[in-house]
Amino acid sequence: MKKPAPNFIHKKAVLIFYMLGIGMAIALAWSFWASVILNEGYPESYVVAFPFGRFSDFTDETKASLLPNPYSDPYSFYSPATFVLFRILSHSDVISLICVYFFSLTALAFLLVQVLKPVAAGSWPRVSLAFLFLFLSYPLIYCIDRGNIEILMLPFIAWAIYFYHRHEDLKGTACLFPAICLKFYPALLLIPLLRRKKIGLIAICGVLSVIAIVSGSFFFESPVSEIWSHYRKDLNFYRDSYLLNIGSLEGAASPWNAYKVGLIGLQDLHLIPKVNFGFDGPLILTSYKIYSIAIGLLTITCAVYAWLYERQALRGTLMILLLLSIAAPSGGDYRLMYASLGLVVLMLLPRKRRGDWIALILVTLAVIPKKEIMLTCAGRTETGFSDVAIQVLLNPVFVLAAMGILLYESRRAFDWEKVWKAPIRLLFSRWRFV
Amino acid sequence: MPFITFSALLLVIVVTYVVALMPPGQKPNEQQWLLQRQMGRNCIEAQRLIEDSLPAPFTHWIGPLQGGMIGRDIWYFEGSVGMNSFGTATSEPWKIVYVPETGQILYRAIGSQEQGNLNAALQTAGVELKKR
Repeated sequence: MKKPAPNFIHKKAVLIFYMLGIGMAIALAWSFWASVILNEGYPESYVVAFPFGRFSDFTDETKASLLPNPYSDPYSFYSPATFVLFRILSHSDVISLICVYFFSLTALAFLLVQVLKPVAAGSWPRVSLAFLFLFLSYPLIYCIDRGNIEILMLPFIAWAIYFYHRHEDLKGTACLFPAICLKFYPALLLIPLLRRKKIGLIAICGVLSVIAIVSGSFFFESPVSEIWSHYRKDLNFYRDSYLLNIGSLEGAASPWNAYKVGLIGLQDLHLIPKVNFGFDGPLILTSYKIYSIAIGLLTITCAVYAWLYERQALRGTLMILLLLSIAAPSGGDYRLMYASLGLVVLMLLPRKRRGDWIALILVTLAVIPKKEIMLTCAGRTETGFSDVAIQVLLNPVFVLAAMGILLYESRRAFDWEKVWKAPIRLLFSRWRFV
Repeated sequence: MPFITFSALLLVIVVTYVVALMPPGQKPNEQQWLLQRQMGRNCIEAQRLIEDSLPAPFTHWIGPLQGGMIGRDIWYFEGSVGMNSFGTATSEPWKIVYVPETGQILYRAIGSQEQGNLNAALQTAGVELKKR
């Protein structure tokens, strides 16, 4: 491993800020040109999402949370604990959204100010850079525009990573707990605890999350059994309309979404027969099974890499963040917020390793808006517009390539002895509770 | 001090953004909103219920599919099925009257094959036959 140059972190920060700045400037200039000169509306003149349902990821859920059974609304896919939060926030959509955004952005900026110390010396430049990073982050702006609750999860996840890095595991787990209750997958970020064999903290966090989620279902007026049966129905609907069919085709960074766009394009060019995207479509069902297995294997690989084989814990966390940004088969571009978080981690890695620069460029390219080229061959999406942009194909490629490079280049740092001794160590090592 | 200054600026931006862009405050009719939201799922469920009893050689759906709630928690959908996804071969109409809450099928028909009585099902739903 090479010794870092003293200004290694600073150089990376400069590159990231330049790329983010130029990317956002091009996107805004394009949007201005399309709206003012070409007189175009959505999607050409918009950097962010579909404008006609702005904040609807928030307002629809607060509306559903007021029902005796929130899952009577078939578009309710969140856990009961999340709907408890939505009911609390439902008294005023405007005030709640302002509070959520202000809390999230301030908490993120405050953390960035802490971690940007190696980049800028004075407090004014550091604070300016922290806020600049937030406003140049396309996935974050997309998330704010949609009003998705992931904006609230992000500061909790970011602070958890910070505390785990400082070996303050209790604080880290306390931060991660709300994020796990809101959506389950941040649980993958508990891996630093596995590295330190703190099985008790993982168990406590897991049990409390399950209790919070299950007890959330007692909060509503409908019988608990009805709430869970409707939840199951809604998840089936989610699978049929979003995973198998073309829901959220216009804004998801998942390789699965890119695959569906590819199929529609090939079908449009008459290179393949018409594809049935319904639940009875044999091609789409088989493909989805294969994708699920592949993403499952990738998740296991990343988890094992982060737990056992990577010497630097922060690099393991980086891999999990990149995985989280693309793994979910549907959703919006806001999932790339985890890649933005990964970009900060990548920037702050003190030790140079081959491939870091390329990975950094690829991840930065993934989080800048790229809506200049529309894939009209992908047809109309659920929004009613031909709004699938080239980024739908590029983003998963960029993130997967960055992951591949980071994994490949870490092979020299692998402790091969650790690899073959891992199962034995698992059995005989001493586990700490907290 | 710089952090407080930037936070105050952030608060102004957030308040302006949310207040300016939040859709108008008129609340839609809750029941109407819910029915509209339930349409998609019940439509897919209806397709599944038809698929369960699909006789050979019908394998794929062809549109259009339409319907909606016709009585208290009772939904009606109709569409057509074909031998292949292009719908160029044989196609037959299908109809279903069912209760999504319980999964109970009051009437189901694919082509000439009927299960249940359409009149009785519609009467259960409180729909007068002449209106249909």
